[in-house]
Amino acid sequence: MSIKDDPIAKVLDNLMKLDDILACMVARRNMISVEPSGGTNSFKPEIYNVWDIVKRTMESQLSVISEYSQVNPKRLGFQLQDYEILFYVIPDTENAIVAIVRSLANRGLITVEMENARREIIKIIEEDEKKKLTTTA
Amino acid sequence: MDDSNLDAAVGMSRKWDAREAGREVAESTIKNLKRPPNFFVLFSTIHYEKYGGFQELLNGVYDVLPDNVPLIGGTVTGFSNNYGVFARGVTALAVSYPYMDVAVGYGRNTKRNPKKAARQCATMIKNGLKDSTYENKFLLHLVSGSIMPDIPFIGRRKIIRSGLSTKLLLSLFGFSEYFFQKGYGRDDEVVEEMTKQLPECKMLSGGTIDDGAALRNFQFFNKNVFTNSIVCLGISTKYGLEVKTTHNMKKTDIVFKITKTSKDGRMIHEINDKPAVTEFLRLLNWSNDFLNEETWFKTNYFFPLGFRIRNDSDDFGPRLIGAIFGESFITLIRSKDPDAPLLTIDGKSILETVVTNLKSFSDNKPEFGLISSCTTRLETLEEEIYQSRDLLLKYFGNSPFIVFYVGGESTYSPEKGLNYANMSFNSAIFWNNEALCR
Repeated sequence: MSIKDDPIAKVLDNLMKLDDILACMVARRNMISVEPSGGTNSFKPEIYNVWDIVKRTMESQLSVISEYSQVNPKRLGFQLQDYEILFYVIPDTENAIVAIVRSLANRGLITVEMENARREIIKIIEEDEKKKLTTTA
Repeated sequence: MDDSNLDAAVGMSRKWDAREAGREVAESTIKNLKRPPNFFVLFSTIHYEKYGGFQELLNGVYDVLPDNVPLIGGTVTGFSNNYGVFARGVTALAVSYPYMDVAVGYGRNTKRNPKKAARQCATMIKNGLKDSTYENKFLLHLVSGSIMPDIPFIGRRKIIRSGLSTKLLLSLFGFSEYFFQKGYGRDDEVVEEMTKQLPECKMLSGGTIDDGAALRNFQFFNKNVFTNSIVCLGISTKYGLEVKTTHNMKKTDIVFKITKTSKDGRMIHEINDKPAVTEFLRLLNWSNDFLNEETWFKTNYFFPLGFRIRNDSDDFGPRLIGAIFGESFITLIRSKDPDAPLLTIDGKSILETVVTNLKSFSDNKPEFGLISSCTTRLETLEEEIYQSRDLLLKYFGNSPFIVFYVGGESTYSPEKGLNYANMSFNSAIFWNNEALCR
């Protein structure tokens, strides 16, 4: 499936359209699982100034999610300079929706949309699994 | 076929393009109604401003809705309904019922002359419902909320502790309020006047808002987009209805006297005869720099000022600090007496507000509901707001409801009076009062 057809990429595209979300992806330890349709080129330019340190921070937090996956962590947050990195864990996976937002953003509203993105992705995964079961039956 | 029952439905759209979203919200709302709706109430987040504009949103709605269906609405920070909780999108509620009369009204320039705007609106409602013989009357009004003025050399900030002199800042604020209608919403004054003009009606109100930045907000009236206005839906019906405000705030043991304010009571200059901000920080044991632009959402909202909701009452409602200029607080609701306890709340109590509110309606199976809730409840609970929505889903079942998140909200009834507050949860619930419906 090309990135443009990936329904999870479309969920990320919707998050990227929000002004205060500078970058987002679905990621796990050592890997970006899904990017928005435009890839990392669709990230807002100001994030590139801090991208290296953000990536290292992401990696350390994703390791925590992986390590504690048995106890179903739900959400992590990490404040770094003028940014906040939010991790919304997709249950029963070691993946999380990762979003980088400005620390002065209205976080309450962003977290509601992060939760909606998580619910949509869970639905996509469940429908995918149902299709696979139907195909193999 | 018996078509004398009430039909109510809620719909929504998450499309980005304003015109397409308008069409989708209208289609999804009215598709299950057996008759064209008596009215259509529309709430939208601010995002359509950049994706076609609100005129296109309304054009899309009326591509589907018959031209003669009255519509009111406005911009909100988010909404909850039977489908979920959303900080982006548009939602609507439509009702059709043969035993209901409906009128809509508006008033302009609410920030410049709130009473005149309210009277203009009330006159339209009175004219529209003058021949109605149904006994239960309800008004939903949406009033343009506060807008942060753009102060020269400073810009738009919530906290300005130094720089220009406070006196100059406050003068510039007053100038902006009157000439540019950028400043306080004065929506409490509009609502008060509405209660005087139409005292027999039960009311639910909310202040339209953007995404919390308080830069602009819009009201919808039929096919028109307004600013700095009140828009109102009037319903006269035999259907049962009740309104209720709850907030669950607890008084702390920090009590002070407001000793100096502006003439209109909205700016608090001194408390306990001392400069207001310094004294406030001292009472809370917060350092001078603790309250800043970054901590604003995580601190200020949890310690609102309490104010007496009526002169003869010992009930205190929460009132938020909107901004800090020098040593003065700018509050969104006027001070009418000096007593001010500090109130507080935690996440659990914010959720319990919903339970407390709905308990008062528990004998009646709801047909539909409209709820105005302060945007701070959405912003502080974050994604846990889904717990609040799940409580509502349990109460409403398949009956449609919308919670719209606003800045400044109230209910009014002739029996209980006006209850205008911030950080509150205000419901209007309608039920089938069978003995009276024929």
